[in-house]
Amino acid sequence: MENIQLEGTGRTPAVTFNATQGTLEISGRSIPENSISFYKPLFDWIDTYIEQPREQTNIVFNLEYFNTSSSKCILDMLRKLEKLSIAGHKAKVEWHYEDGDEDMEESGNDFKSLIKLDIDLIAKP
Amino acid sequence: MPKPKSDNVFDNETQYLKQAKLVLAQADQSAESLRQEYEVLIAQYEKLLGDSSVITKISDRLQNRLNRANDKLEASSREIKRKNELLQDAIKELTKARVSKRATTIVFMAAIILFIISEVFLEPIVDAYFQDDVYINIAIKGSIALLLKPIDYLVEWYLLRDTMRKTRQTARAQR
Repeated sequence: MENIQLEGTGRTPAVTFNATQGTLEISGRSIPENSISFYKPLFDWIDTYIEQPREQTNIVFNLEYFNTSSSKCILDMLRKLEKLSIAGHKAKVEWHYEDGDEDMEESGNDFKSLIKLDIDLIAKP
Repeated sequence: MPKPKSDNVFDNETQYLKQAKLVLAQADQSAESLRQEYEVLIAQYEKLLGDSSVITKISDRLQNRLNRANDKLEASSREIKRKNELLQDAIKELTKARVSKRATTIVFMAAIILFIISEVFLEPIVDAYFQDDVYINIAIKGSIALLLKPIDYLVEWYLLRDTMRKTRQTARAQR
């Protein structure tokens, strides 16, 4: 399966999905005008990936800001990835936020409360 | 699971709702099949409730973040405006000082010219008409000296008006 490598813009995040390494990283700002059209290919990629995942999957969120519809998409994405854990595969999520950014930290905690995945909240200095 | 077909982020949930409505519309459903559908609907409702709760919290937090950023921007804007006003005052004062200096130079030149005129042309006339009267002489020269202040005021006013006009023209051209 093909990897996904997207450059970040002022409105959309940088995306690196690597099936060979089992790493999925989303970083930057996520405020697209149409969130679903941006996230749909990522959902499709995840749907394919979870059929034959790596033994260990590392998911990294390094977002500075995202809009409401993006938060729904992130939630849906995490729900899809939750299936890895349910199927007995190792999956770990790192939720990075700027040290002192309580909003992003609490958002990470909110996702953590809803998703059955190992989510680490990591403060960036 | 139903596949998303539109650009709506709640497309999955909409599909489940449609499915539930469809099942309800079918009169010949068995109790067991209805129960299964009901379970699916409850599971989806529970999931949607959880999602909505989290999304609302996140959304409120992001809105507060935007509000804080907006407050900061407004404060910065007010500070920039205040500093701009101070800068404008300083520029005005500087322009006034520069114009005043130029006016003083012009008036000084005018004073020299008036002095020469009074010495070369006026004094012989005064001497001839008033028989070298010292008081008349002082009065005429004093009047000329007193004229210097209004001349200074007029020159400064004219130069200042001219400078302001040029400044406005430059500002308009830059826009």
